[in-house]
Amino acid sequence: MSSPVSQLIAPTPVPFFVTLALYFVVIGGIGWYAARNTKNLKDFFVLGGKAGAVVSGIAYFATQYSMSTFMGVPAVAYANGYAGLTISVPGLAFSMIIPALLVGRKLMQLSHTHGLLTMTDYLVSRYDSRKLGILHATMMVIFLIGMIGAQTVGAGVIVHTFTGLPEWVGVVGMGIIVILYCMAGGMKGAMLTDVLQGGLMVVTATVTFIVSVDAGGGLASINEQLLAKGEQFLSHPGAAGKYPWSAYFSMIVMWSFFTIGQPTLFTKFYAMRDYRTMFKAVILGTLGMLVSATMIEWSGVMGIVSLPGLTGKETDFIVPMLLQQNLNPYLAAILIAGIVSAGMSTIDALLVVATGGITRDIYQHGFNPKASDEEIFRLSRYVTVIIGIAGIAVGITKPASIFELIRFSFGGLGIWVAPVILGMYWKRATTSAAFAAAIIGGALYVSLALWGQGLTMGFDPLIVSWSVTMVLMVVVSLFTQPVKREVLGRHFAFA
Amino acid sequence: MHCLSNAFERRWAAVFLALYGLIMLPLPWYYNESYLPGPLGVPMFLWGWIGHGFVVLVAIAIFARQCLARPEYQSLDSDGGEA
Repeated sequence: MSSPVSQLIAPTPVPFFVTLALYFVVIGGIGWYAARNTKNLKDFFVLGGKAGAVVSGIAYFATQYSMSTFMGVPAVAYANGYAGLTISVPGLAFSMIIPALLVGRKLMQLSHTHGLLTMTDYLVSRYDSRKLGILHATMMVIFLIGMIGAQTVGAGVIVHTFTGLPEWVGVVGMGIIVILYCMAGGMKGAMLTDVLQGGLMVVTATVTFIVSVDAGGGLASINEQLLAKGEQFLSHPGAAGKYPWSAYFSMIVMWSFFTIGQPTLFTKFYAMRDYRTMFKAVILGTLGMLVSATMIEWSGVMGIVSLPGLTGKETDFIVPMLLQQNLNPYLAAILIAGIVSAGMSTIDALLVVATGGITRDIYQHGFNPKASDEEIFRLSRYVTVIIGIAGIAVGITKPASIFELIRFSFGGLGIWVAPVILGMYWKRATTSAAFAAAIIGGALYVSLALWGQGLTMGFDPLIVSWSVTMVLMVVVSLFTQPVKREVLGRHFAFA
Repeated sequence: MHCLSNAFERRWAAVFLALYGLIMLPLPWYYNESYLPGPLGVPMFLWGWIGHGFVVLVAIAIFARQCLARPEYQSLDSDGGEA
């Protein structure tokens, strides 16, 4: 017997390809414009430190939004009911202000006064260690490739659903398009396309919400029907029992506090022009995320009533199916472009940062200090292609679901929050302690995430691993040699 | 400049961390193992999250306004000062 997905979805390849082709022409045009205006390394990595509020704000939430927001989380909400929204809705309002409050302003000052371009730059500068930079860049690239792969998985599912073509076609197609405009325009291409993509994502979230309410017969009726199915769809820990309080707490902390460990966040702050820009970006980005992520993820709950019967991996199709079942094919395809945008705008930021990790932090700083900026700039374009291909390979092999891939990779990057936070607030934090925290914390996180979930008492493995790294860093710092006084003077000059 | 730079920064850090800590508590309008219906039958915890989110947004707007009226926020090169 065929699955509910194949029974419900009738491929509409012509509207799908026509709409997406037009969309990619526009994206390509922006990439070409950005390439003409990208003249040096600083332009490529942080937009010359001159990004305005609208670009920064929209680029931030466009980067944070991913295939997981538009497909992965609604799927979890579909399987769990309202408790599934626990993943992001309660913590959304904190996802920009917590990083801005704790690290953002100091990062902007350091970037403007000391010319830092990446998160690795910060760690090298604070701990006065190129080797720590190489360690960070190596770990970062590995986990970023996992995140890039997760985004392309979603494109494969969409292309398969709407055209009947194999999933790898969508994975490869999306990968190639993002590589091309990123290779050409670096951060400028990424952030300018983010503006268009972010706008489209908001429209997609709003329309999907309206369509899902209408399809279910109105909010009151939907909730009555959910109650008839069982109270667990309207309470914690949810229909599948996945969201007890420990998971609720973990999810709030994960997507706000641990964003501090995400290298793309550093780049966004480095790119901001001034404090006025930062605050406008935080307000705009928070409002955008609060409104549209809530709506798109809530749509997954509403789908339980209007499109019942999806199980397992089929739940990933809930948002594309809501659109396809309730709108004309061209409008549905435009909104699907909004979902594709969510993945593309995340990939482009990840690609730029991962490229910087290999070309500057590993190659230039580790092996060829004499390499000129021009040489690194040229090399960056080739490295972008190689990393993009690695991401495509992950997308084709699909080792886990979209949400699980992102959660795992995000956690791997989050381990670096201890060296960042303690490095910023505690002069005594030492280089040896940062090494110990990264290596032991990384190994502990991977072990717990892959084999020891039962040992974390329901909390995310990242929270347990991070707590260990904080204690470890403090203890090791107290017994090892402090960082040079002049280095600390540079970092703590801003009070 | 950071959240411990001076009394102004510490006060606002306390406000945001209090709001952050508050939503993590298993209060019935944030986390509920029984169905507590709100308007239109939507569980109260979802209205609680949305309401809390908008309170945070208003707090951010007030914080931004007060920050941008202060001299140390006029230039990226100035330090946070100790108060």
